[in-house]
Amino acid sequence: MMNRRTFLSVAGVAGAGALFRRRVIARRSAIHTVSHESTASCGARKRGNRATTAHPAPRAGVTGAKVLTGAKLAKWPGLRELFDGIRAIPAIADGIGCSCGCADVPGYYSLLSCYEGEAMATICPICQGTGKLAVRLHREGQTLDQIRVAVDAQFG
Amino acid sequence: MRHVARLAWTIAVAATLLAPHRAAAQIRASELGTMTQVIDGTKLSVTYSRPRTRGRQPLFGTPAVRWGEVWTPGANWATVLEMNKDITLNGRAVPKGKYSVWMVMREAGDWTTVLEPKWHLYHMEPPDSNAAQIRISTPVSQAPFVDVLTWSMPELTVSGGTLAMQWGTTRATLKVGVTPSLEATMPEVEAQPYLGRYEYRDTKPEPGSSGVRAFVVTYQNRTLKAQWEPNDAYMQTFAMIRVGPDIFTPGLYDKDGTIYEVLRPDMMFTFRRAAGQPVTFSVRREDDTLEATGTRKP
Repeated sequence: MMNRRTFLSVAGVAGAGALFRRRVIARRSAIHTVSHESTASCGARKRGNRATTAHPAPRAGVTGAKVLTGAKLAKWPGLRELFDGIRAIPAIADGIGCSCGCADVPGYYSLLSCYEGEAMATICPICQGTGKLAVRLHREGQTLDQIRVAVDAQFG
Repeated sequence: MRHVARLAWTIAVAATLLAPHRAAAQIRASELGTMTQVIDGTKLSVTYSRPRTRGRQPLFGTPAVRWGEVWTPGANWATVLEMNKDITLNGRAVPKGKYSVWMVMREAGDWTTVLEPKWHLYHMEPPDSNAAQIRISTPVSQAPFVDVLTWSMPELTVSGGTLAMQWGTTRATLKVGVTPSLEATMPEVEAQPYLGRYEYRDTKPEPGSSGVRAFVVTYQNRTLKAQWEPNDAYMQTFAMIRVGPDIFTPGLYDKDGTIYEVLRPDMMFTFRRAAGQPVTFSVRREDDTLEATGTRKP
């Protein structure tokens, strides 16, 4: 019986699903390498049923001033757009919980925290994915509550 | 005199501090081991000291382990079972927590596994029977020889597996059941709006491919299902598992028709409605990259 890797290695006949799987698996390999560099709890994902992520109330007057900028992202130039996007929506990012396990990191309050200070979002695909989803849905005009539902559906 | 006493004390302390830490490199007849398994978010671990047979065979029904004895399947401190969520063992409900594990061995018939909430107990002090314990009938079989007592999970499914304790040629097994995190089925009336044919358009098609295929959504066995035409050899027909309003993720079936992998958060289908009817969908990856789009076809 052909296993996943064997199939993907010979998938010249790749259909949409196989094409997708190849991309996902390539990315997963990269994630594995990164996870060894991380000392925090990123990746200890809390999986479970719908709506399991605890979403905090956005703090009054919260700003994106602490979100990493420019030089501090020199190692991750591909993430500048994402960090800029989060910086622009602090009241949204501060109302979303991150499900990767970073809630156990001292100083964590919300997804916004993942983009400040040590910024786990520089290495964590869940912090990044949650942030990208939030930025896109906000641009599409969705409310915080609607964004929370989408975050729970994908990462809850 | 006082000076001499102080010097002697200093030397004694220094000797203690500089002495090799024997415990750190101590050879034990039964070395400590752990077995950990995650099943759909339920983490289960067994921590135990691992005795060797050391030529003792048979082991059970002998002075090593007598019939009728309450014995911890390990050595030294009692074997500890810990779960972060409720499970079932051979059909018995076991609340999440930490337990010491004991077994009552019988020459014929099933053994009894006893889970004792007091988990830090020495093997020479088996607990008395009490109402807080969970007692589980445990089948025993013969298996190929294993020298070191071993806890393992030789079988896994999406909803559980088999937890096995083996020593020598004796294997005791506990069927583990975990609480599913997702529900694959949905009422037909709720599935009905999604049914039909869609044009699936990959945003980055393979060279030489148009990236356009038919995508068919059906309802079978109380489950919303989908497949490409021609069928995708890897994903086959898969479950569309609802994880949010108009949001679905694929569940892949093995040859027995059991879901063995759910692609959340890697592959998310989000439908858009027009006049209350789902008419398009997007497929996005964990990093929110748009993988494909779908449009309903007549």
